[in-house]
Amino acid sequence: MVIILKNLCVDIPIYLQGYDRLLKKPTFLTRSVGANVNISSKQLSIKAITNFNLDIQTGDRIGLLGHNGAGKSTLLKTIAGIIPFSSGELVVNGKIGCIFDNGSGFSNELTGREIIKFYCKINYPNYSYKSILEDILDFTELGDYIDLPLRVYSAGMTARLYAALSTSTTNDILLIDEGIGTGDMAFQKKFVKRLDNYLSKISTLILASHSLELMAQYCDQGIIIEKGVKIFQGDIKNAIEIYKNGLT
Amino acid sequence: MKKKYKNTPKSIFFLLLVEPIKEKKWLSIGYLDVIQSYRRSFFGPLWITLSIAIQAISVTFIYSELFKVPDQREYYSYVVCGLIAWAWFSSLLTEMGNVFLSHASYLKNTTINKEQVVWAIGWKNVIIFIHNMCLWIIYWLFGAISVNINTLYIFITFPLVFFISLPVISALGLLFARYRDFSRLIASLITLLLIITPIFWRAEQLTGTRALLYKLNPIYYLVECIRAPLMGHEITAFTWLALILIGIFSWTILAPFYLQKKNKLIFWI
Repeated sequence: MVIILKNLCVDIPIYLQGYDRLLKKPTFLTRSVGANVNISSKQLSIKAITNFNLDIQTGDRIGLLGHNGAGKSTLLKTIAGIIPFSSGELVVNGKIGCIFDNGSGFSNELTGREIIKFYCKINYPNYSYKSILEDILDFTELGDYIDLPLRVYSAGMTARLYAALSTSTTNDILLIDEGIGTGDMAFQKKFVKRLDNYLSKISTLILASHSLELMAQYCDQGIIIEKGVKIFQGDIKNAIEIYKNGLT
Repeated sequence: MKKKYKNTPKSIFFLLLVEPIKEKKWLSIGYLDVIQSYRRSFFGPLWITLSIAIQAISVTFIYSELFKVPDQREYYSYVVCGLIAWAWFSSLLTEMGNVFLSHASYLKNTTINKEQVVWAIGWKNVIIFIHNMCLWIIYWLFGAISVNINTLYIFITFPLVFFISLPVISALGLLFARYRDFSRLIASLITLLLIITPIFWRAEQLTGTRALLYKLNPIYYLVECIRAPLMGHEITAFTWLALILIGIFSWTILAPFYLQKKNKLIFWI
């Protein structure tokens, strides 16, 4: 097994403005989306993941389906070790790479070249900046813009840069949360080609997305999550069908 | 490679010392912080050096006239070395409140360890300290500072202070992330700390019970262990003792506190 989750629970405590100071407890109405809010204990919290069991083997390509706030991102971030879990067990065998929110932490005043350099040093310390530079320059077609600050880039150019950066090295396990659609039509074609090539080198993939097309293309298994609970696991086509029916 | 995430923590020395030294991402994050803070500024981090120079020159000129300081050359070096040391602590104090908040994007979206950003803040301030040392070199070239065997102690005390500050940055960074009022409190206390710490005035000027004002002030010892070697003075045994006690407090009280609460940090940023 590459990843094992046994009865995994994740409770996210909530700290509201004035909640500590004024001792006022907010009231919550029943919501159609999002996990359950627990207000019974002293600490207000969200039960983001409840008793989640999952065995992922090498070569599995899993798509996570669910409404906004169902717990897809929380599950990915828990597997990545970013969010701690409240109870249960989690075992990860292999090196994890994640594509969550690309480009966060970098100022718009930095040039494209500087971003590539620091992104590489912070996220891929085992790779040299020069080893990925040429590939990124070639793929993004940024030309002279590479030495200009990011604030003069268009949204599409920025997206190209980060898309190239996030797919410039490989890991054993890849966790992707949304945002891998980029740029104009011509670039999208180029990116799909790159993504195909990139994902073919990844042995295990967990993808959370609202794009069912992307899921069908890159995943072989689907998991539907609702309010932090796994309600279905099986073939991706069946999962998409069940998820679609649930939406109507 | 096998990772088994459990809620049982690793040793604090491993987390705060061994792992960051092995990974070294803090070198890039700290340097990036400096670049991003001073981008499009002509002087960059030298602005801090310039402001120390302006402060040191004006204060030494005014105070030496007001209080009729007998040895002006000695007083010049005392103030400038004190301000260089103070700049390191005041910057650490103000930035440690935001250590996790300002790096929230890394902590929320990448698998980077929290300790890497703790070291990054320390490293950023080391870079600024090195810039400020230009001022010390200028004073030395003009003969206001004497360099002797005692100066070499800076290579012991500076890493020692860095070592002591790691649990302080981590624990207070956590506390400040949870209770946002603390960083505002520190910002308003910085000026008071500057006034009560012997930077512009000498510790020997206070005698009797009044001396407790600096004797009970831990920042005095942290400043003194940097200032004394920079001035070519010997570090007193009492300062060494105070440093050891601060170090013990830092690693036995603050470090375990950080270890105990660090898992909750992600919910506070």
